[in-house]
Amino acid sequence: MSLNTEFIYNTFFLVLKGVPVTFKIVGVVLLISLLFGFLFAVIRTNSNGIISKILGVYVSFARGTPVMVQIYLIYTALPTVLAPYFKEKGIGFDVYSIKGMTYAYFIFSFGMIPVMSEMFRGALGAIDKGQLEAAKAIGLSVLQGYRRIILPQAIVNSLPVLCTNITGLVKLSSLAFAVSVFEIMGIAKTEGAKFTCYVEAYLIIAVLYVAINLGIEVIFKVIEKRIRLYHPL
Amino acid sequence: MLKLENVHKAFGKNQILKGVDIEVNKGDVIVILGPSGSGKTTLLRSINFLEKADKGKLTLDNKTMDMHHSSRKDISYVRKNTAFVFQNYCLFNNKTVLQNVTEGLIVARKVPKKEAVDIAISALKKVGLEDKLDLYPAQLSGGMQQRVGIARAVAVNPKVILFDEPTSALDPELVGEVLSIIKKLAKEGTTMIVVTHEMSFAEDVANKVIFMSDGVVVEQGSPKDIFYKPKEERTRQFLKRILPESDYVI
Repeated sequence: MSLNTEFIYNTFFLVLKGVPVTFKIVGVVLLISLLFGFLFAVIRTNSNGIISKILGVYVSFARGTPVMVQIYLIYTALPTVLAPYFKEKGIGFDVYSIKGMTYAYFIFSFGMIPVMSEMFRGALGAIDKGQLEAAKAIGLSVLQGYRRIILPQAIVNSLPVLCTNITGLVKLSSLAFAVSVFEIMGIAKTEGAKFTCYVEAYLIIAVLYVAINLGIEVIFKVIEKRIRLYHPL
Repeated sequence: MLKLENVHKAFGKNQILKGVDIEVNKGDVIVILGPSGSGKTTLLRSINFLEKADKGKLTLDNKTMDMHHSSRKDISYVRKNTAFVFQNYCLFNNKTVLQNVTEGLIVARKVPKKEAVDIAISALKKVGLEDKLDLYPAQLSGGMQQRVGIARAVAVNPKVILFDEPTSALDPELVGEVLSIIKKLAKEGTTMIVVTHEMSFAEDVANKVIFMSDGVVVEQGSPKDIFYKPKEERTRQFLKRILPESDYVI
């Protein structure tokens, strides 16, 4: 079996153009999901009211449905339902004008927020209640206690799972082609289809994703090592 | 200086505190004794609002507040004028020994850093840990951690220090070093409320002993009165089990 090396060479640099797109998706979704994930985790850890329960349903739904289904519902089904509704109500917003990238951000954030929220819930649960009590007893406000005592410890506790989640997010971003975004997967598959060099295309895809995720793992190894130096936890 | 009136607290169906009154004067060292479940820890924790009482009045230095309908200002006032030493030390795991002690000063009381560090070092000197400033709690023994906890409480110069079974989680060999520091503080006139099972410590250091059982104060008085001349049957029952026969005279 011989590989079309000319294709590999040409396409590789073409696919590289998709790497910044992948990074953009991962970056934005990471920021959103870490922020809301932590917020939701704090809510669910400290109360059991109606908001907690609603969040629980959200987590179950996002966890329980395949990503492709979530993509279909939000990318295909939702606009189809909203367009006639908007027309009826005279809302001049064109649902079909939303860019694929926006869908990517929204849909992947929708899926990642529960993932990060559960990670933080575990990390927060591992912190002894006495930490916050001592902070309160010494006169710190709850916000100060969380920012100075709880959050740093929660982050350290989250590191192993966070590495898994980030590499998972990188792989998740490969589905962005389903919402017409041209990142690594999208470009490589398109080129592969053009020249019917599928094996070569997937080779490129595999190499790139492994490289990115290995890089992420190395970063985390370094971080964990340094943390152990300053915080012998 | 500190007065609690008619404190009630229930956890679900469990009525833990059934109307407790306590009075603390400046310089008092009060020991609260009692069987587990008597409410002594709950009472202590309700003073600085770690537990929110269902009913009751708290007066600290002429400022009176309702313990159930307390404002954030009230709670902050109490917490800034008291300090708590936990049974499980509860040191901030992500901070060094020095940082643990300066936290309450710098962040909660807005003391400038240099001054806070000086205060912290002298507090740590008092508990004999001035050479461990940059270590983390995980690198310390239980006794050392508790001593840092005490330094943390002392550094903020509170009106009263609340001790929740300070030696219960300690190795018997380490109990002594912590008790001697508490004794030193008592000698210096620090107002303290100590929940403990250490009877001889209570006799040594306390000037008032309060015996609680089933959510009420059964009896209170000087250590001599409580240990040697208990008036209530419940007190005698408790002491009989704790004190060796020879110490107890009817």
